[in-house]
Amino acid sequence: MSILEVKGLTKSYDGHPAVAGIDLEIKDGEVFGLLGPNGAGKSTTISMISGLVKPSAGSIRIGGVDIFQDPLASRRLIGVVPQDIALYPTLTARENLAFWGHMYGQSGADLRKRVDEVLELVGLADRANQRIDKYSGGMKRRINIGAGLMHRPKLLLMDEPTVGIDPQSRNHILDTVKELNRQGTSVLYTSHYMEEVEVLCDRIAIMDLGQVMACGSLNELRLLVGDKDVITIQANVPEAKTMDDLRAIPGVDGVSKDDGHLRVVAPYGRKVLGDIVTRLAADGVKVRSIDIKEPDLEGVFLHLTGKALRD
Amino acid sequence: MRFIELAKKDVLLMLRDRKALMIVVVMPFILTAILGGALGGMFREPTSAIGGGFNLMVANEDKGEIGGHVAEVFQADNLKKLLTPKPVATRDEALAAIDRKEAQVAVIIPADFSERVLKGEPAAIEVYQHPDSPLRGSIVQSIATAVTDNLSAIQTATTTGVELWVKGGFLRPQDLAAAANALAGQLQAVGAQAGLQQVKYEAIEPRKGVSAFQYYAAAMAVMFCLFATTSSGAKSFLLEREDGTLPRLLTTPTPRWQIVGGKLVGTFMTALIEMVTMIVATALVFRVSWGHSPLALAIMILAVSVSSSGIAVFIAAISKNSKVADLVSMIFIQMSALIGGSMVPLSVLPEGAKKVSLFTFNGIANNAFVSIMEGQPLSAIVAPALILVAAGLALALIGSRRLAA
Ligand SMILES: Nc1ncnc2c1ncn2[C@@H]1O[C@H](COP(=O)(O)OP(=O)(O)OP(=O)(O)O)[C@@H](O)[C@H]1O
Ligand SMILES: [Mg+2]
Repeated sequence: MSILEVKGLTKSYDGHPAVAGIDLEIKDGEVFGLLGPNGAGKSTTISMISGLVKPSAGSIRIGGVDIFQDPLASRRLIGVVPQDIALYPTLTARENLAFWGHMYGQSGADLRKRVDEVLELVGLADRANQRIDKYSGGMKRRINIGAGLMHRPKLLLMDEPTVGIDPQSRNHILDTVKELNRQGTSVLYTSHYMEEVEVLCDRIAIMDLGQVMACGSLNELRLLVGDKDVITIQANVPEAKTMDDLRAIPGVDGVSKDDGHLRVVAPYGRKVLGDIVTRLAADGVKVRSIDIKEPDLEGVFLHLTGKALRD
Repeated sequence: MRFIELAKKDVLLMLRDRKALMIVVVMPFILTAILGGALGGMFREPTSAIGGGFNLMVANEDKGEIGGHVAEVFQADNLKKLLTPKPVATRDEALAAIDRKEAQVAVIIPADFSERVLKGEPAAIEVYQHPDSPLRGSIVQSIATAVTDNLSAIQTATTTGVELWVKGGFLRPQDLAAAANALAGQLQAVGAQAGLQQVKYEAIEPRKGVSAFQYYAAAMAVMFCLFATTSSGAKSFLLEREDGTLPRLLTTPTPRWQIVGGKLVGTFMTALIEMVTMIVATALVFRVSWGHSPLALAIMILAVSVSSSGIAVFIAAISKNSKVADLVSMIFIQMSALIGGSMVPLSVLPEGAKKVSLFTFNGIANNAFVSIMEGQPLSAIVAPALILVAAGLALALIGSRRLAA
């Protein structure tokens, strides 16, 4: 059963596609990451799913409901956390949450109880009666999330919820998402921080220029680059003979150098590391540091698009 | 209903906005005090707060007789409500009284006044005013000008006559004094008439029996009601669009008509709060009487609130963003206030403007409130109330359809 099903979703502005025919599927109970650089089309995608932007083409079903056929029903299922904080600065955290609860049809004792729960969840129960214009950026972001949680949505759409905040608030937000997911909420999480997506998401779609470049679990995406380690060695640049010697080591796939760095690609880096160091010592090359890395989303993105995720 | 919660939120936001509150609550109050007090002299029955009329020092230094007649012009009965003349002998005494603030304005008739008049030379009356009383000064100035204007008209007509008589031997030089006396008699009549015109001009408006404080309390309440609805009411629809809270609202299962309905109700509540606050505050602080018909007053409060809400929603609907809405509102408010007689009593405006004012929001509303203050029957406000409500509902309908789209 999937909570979200998007097919051929397209949005063009003056003939320029911001989103160019993407397919997405989020299964019930999943945290799904949408990773992409600035301008990739993440917010446009979220806006279409939340019914704010009319797609040029494509279909969107939330919990099996076509959002254009029954917009009110589909909106009851989603909670939206906008990229920019959308709250009333002169109202307190409690007043803001209560207002948004009302907009989801809550009232009375139910509403009051839920406000307290949400305040607890985002960790601001002790500041509940303070106007949020007195809050730090991170605290505002947490209430911004809380406002989207009031009605216990089945699917939470979060658009870069951690942009520009302190590590403490960021960790709190990541913990909140995990907790919500544990309680059964499916999440569509948009970010251009690969670390966040790596730790949070069951599956990830990598987006660039309005297209989904790849989609799958972290391991599936890693396989796209091949399951090869990258060994980076800082040393005074060796002569051509040394480079050839390194290439001759069994288990080494490739060797490249740029100023001060020697890069060796090997399927099993650790196994060949000893041979490499011995060879370098024999040739009189001074090694300053050695680093072995499994390919990460950064590497995957580099592999797919030929550019870095962040500039 | 969600639109009630939306409206409640808007009212709460307005009450939390100190700066906006200063403008919509404190400003009209201060303006009422300034305009009601400073322009008090332009109304027939100045309130006690202005301290009745003002003292006018009249120094007649004229060696001849005409000066005395001119001085009498200021003693005219029909000026009594406006000013109290205090005759003194010299210019210095008169000016000293102004310095001591015992009088606000002084008129000085120079020593050679009669001589110049009889010689057919231009003769002037000097008017001095205390800097705090520019309006009173200009009132006296206009009376003085009327006197001298009439005087020179008589001069040209008669001095030539006197001269001819003298030259032709009909009149001996020693009879000249008698001739001057006759002239002065004529002058007195003219002068009195001039003073009368002046008082008429000042007393025609706003309307009989309404004090400056009453007039401006109503005018400011109406003007700032419009200001409140356009600045913190309907415009917030555009602000919410810009701040992202409107898009967020649209992601909730709240139908659009409820969102727009909430704005309408919130704007209307803002208007009601503004009107009631102004009426209660001016009644308590300035002892402004808002008439003796609570029913008529309630009807007009509702009518003004409905129409200013309609105007505000319409302006929000036709404006691309909140800055444009601000600009359009300011222009509309200033125009309607100026033409509608909220700034300056209609009496000061030209005839054409008076007619146009009957078609402005401020003009209709101001007139209706003045009618209530004058104690006119309920029927006097039925037409204005209906017009305001009808126009307000029409504008609200057009505006909210546009906003909901
Ligand atoms: N209302 C609009 N009118 C015209 N172009 C738009 C509009 N909204 C978005 N775009 C364009 O669509 C593309 C995708 O924008 P979008 O905001 O979806 O990117 P994003 O992935 O959310 O980026 P970011 O990480 O900066 O938030 C961009 O090139 C943007 O300029
Ligand atoms: Mg974005």
